Amino acid sequence: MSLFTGLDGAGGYLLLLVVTFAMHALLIGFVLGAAAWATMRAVRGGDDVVAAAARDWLPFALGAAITAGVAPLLLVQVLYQHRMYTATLLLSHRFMAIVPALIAGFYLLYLGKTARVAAWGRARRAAVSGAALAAFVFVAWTWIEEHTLAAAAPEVWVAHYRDGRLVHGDPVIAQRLVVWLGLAAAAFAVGAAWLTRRRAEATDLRRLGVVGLGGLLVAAGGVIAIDRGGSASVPAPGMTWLALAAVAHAVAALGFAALVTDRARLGRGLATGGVIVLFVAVSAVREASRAARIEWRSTLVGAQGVFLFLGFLAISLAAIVWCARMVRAHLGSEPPART
Amino acid sequence: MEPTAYPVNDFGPAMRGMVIGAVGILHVFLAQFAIGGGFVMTYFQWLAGRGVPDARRFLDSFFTYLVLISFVTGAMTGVAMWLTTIQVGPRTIGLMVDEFHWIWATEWCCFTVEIVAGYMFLRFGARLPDRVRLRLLAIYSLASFGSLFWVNGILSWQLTPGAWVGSGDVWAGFFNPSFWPSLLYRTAVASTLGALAAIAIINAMDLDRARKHALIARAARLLVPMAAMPLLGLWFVAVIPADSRAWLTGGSVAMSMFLALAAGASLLLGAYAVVGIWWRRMFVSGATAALLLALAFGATAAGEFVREGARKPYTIRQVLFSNAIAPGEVARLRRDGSVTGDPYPLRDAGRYPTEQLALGARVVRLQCLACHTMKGANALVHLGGGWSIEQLRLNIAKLQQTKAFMPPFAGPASEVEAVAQLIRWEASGAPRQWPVSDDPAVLAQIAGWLDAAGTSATPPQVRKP
Ligand code: HEC
Ligand code: HEM
Repeated sequence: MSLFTGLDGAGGYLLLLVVTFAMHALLIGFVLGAAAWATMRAVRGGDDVVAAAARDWLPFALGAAITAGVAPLLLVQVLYQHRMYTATLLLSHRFMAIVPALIAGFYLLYLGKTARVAAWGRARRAAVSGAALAAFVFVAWTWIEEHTLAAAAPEVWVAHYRDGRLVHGDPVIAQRLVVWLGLAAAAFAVGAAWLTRRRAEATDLRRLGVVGLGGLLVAAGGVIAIDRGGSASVPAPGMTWLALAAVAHAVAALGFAALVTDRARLGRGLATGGVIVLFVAVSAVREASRAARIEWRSTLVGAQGVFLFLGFLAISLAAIVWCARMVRAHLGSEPPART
Repeated sequence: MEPTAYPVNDFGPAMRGMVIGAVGILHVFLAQFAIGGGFVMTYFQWLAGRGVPDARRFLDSFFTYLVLISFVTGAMTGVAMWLTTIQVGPRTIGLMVDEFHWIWATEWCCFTVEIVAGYMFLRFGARLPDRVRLRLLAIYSLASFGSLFWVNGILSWQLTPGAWVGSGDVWAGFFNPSFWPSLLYRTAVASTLGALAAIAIINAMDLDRARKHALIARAARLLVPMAAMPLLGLWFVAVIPADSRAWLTGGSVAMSMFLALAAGASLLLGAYAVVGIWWRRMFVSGATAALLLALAFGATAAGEFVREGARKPYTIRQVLFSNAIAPGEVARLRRDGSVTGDPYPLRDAGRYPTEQLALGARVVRLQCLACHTMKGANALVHLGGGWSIEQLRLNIAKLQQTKAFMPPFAGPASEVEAVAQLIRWEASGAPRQWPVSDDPAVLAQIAGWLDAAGTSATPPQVRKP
């Protein structure tokens, strides 16, 4: 909590950044995990409830994840403008490649839902979701690369520019990716457990529990690797959040363990709470380690329009809730048909 | 670090303006179509609720998918737009973010609602009663119009910052002089695009001619705002700065041509809509609708070109020149040198036989590459390579008088000389040997020209159309 105070007014922005980025990361996690599950299922042949739900919800989840990504995109520009811009300029085409990758991934997801592709053989079906997965991992890698380069010293930038490089190589990038992919598995396990709650059989839930546990383990391993590499210096305000992340990690692990041992309701509840808090806490730790670099420009203090935004935020939330309730009331609780 | 010190990328033979233009036109077209498509769907849903035959069938046709595909790609190209804007003008977008981030955050709220309502309709629409469908579509349309409303204020502010310049008041900047004409203009375009695409789809539907005709006549109602476009265009031209207007009306041939194209295309479309479809109830074939859509695309492209071009020599009028130098910084840069604080070395430093030429290359990179290339589009070598060295010195020192849509040169005499030498050197085929020019008399003469030209952009009243 002390992370958000004593920043001359930047704290509110930082809080919004932490929350919206956590939302982005959760949804992205679901997308990565769902694409991986769909690919695995296609490789092994046959179908299952979880794979069907994954394919069904992937396009919407990606749309929502991207939309959620726009908010941190704005806030990062407010808080770390010069660094963010410099990194994207230095990576240039390499960075911009995420746009065609995302468009391609998006349409592959839609393709993966069609009846025509469902009738295809294993190899071709696996290729469709595998290619989408590869595109998303590429995008994740790129954002981490951007983040790492933005945090680098100006001398690194100058050398990067002088040599005309397009890629920023740093071992921490792969380690961070491992953390995110692990967390993605956990986010997906939770999301899928909800989406299939009426249809999933005990084996499905057990598998999701295993995926969640595995993801948490991998993420922890990634964090240890980063720590060993010496590039993880979490300043004081982040320590509280790190502790919270550890607790949430443990709660989520208990939840997944409950899923593995067939206690569905308890497992889903614990895992959901644990994973959500874990994402928020990780997002806060992530900001804590760069909050010292905020370029707070005096012009930003009292920038007009904040009440407009808060008003619209409330209206928008109300509109979304209203839409959801209206649709629910008229659909009853039957599972959704095709899109 | 210097606020201007961003690394500058080279886009090969293409100018930066072309890069942003290509993404921009595609994005604007898709986004406006997604908005207009929302209008069409809401209207047809309302008709369906009132029992108009085939209205629901039309909605469940390909059209819904078309709108939703375009709102997905519209969203993606929107992100692309943002990232491209950073690539071509970090300081410009940075300033816009500093000033308007809460407005953008508000736009984001609208956009989120648009995505959620749109997807709900796509996913569950077939199983919902008309009343709920209408509500979902109305929310989708309102939210997408909301996005347009908010972002339009920021974009129009770039050309006409209005009273914001003196007061720094965000609302004065947002509701700037060109806010209403451009909002209404874009709304009319959106409605037109939606209607035209609807007509094309209706043609492709499996219905007999009379039933198609009935649907087309309904869809054509959304073409009517088109008739107001010439008036809205005039209103827009009336509120933009005098010098921008002067180029549109003949000062720049390319600009006037594009304006004529935009105006002509929208006039044709509007006349056709009102006279042909609405009044005379003519039948519109799929081919005609496609042709009209192409015309509308042309009008959009030309309109965006005019909007981008009319801002020169600024990206944000009176605040930031196209090369990311602020008017208030020119005097200091003339004293201290424009590239002294730029930490980024040249990538091709080995090409230049002398320090002076390398300095010239750094100055060109900072001050000229926003609108020129060395040898590609709008190339400096083609424009000034045939001039004598004296001509080059004079014209570069008095840059804002050479062409009123260039900013003042923002460096000392030695930098003018370095750029002039660089252009001569490149025009001579980049020989391995090149003399250094450091005659104090020459430099003094250039300094005199710089002083005579002053540090401001050419004020509107002095500009010859
Ligand atoms: C705001 C954009 C912009 C910037 C920045 C800019 N120019 Fe130009 N310049 C133009 C345009 C537009 C033309 C007209 C091209 C044409 O007539 O085809 C032009 C024309 C020229 C010409 C030919 C003038 C003539 O009368 O034929 C020269 C020489 C020139 N620019 C040099 C420069 C140099 C050197 C710089 C950097 C110090 C520079 N420009 C910066 C937009 C710009
Ligand atoms: C499939 C698509 C995507 C994936 C897999 C993905 C993944 C990620 C990951 C892993 C990070 C964390 C980087 C780190 O901690 O070092 C991240 C950060 C971020 N992403 Fe995404 N992302 C995707 C799409 C997008 C899109 C489309 C946007 C923009 C609208 C976006 C905006 C952001 C922003 C602003 C950040 C924060 C960068 C920072 O803090 O410096 N992402 N993304």
